[in-house]
Amino acid sequence: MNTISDENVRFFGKVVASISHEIKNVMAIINEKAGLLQDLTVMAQKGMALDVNRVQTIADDMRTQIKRGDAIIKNMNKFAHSADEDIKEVSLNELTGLIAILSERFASRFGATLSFKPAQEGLTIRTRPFLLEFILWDCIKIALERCGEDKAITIAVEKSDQGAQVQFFIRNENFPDSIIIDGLSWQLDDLHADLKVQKSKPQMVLLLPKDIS
Amino acid sequence: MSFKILLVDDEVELVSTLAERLSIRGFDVKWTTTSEDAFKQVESYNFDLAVLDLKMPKICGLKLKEALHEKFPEMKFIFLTGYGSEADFKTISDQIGEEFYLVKPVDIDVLIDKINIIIKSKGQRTPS
Repeated sequence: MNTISDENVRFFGKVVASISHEIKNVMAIINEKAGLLQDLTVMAQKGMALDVNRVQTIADDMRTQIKRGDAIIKNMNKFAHSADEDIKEVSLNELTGLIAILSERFASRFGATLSFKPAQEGLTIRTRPFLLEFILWDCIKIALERCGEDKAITIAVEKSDQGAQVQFFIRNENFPDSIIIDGLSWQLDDLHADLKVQKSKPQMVLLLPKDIS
Repeated sequence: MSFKILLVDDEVELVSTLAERLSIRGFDVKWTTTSEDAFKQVESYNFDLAVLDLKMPKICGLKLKEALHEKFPEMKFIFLTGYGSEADFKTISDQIGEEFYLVKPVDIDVLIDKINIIIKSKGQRTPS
């Protein structure tokens, strides 16, 4: 198999760049909140009344942003470690949910929203986690580029006869019968996976085996 | 007469707090998180300056600037960017000819320096 490729590196770079923008925003908010506290302190030193409730709210806002930053970094850490092992058993709910979260900023650039429906029962498959993340990211990109006016995509994980499937529901009557997936062909082969389009729904379905080894 | 500034960034906590800090410093500031609302606000208020986030949902800051500049040629612009460094953004800004940009997190004194340059270029007085 291709253990590393230009596409893999580009995918890794795109995800890390997107995460870094999120972290920058968190830091920018904390920076402004801290600055506002300084402003209020300076005003108080000049004799203006200091609103203690206002100070408390700003401190709470800062704590919220620190929690947000922590969650972003935890996800970045999970994503980075997905490349540790070539093949391993993974929770498909967890892995797909992670990529859905990491794609949210990308989706917002399309003015679109992503929602995620995990499988009701825990669903594990033996697969190549990094490669699967790559394919899920590209599926989301394909869906976003074709999501029509509604701009809403639902990603659902389900058990299937072969193993598992990830469905991408797109509310667009003009969704094409087929999509060009040349850029994904070797990745799909390496995962023993298949990507199908069902125009009647419309949806894309990524079919995954229970075990690729 | 106060210098009128419109702040546009999809991060509500960022844009609202920055607006409050600029208001404290004597500027007349309004803010929004969407390009659609930015268009509405410029129709009803005569802004001197728009501070735009470069990366926003639906329409990027540069496209928003183009649209606003077409309708309001006198309006000036400053961009905020989450790019890694000013050098990264400079590569892009050199191509598009934008010189007023700041990398997040923003140092408010640097932002005010840029605003004051714009105020002076318009022949107005800076807030005391």
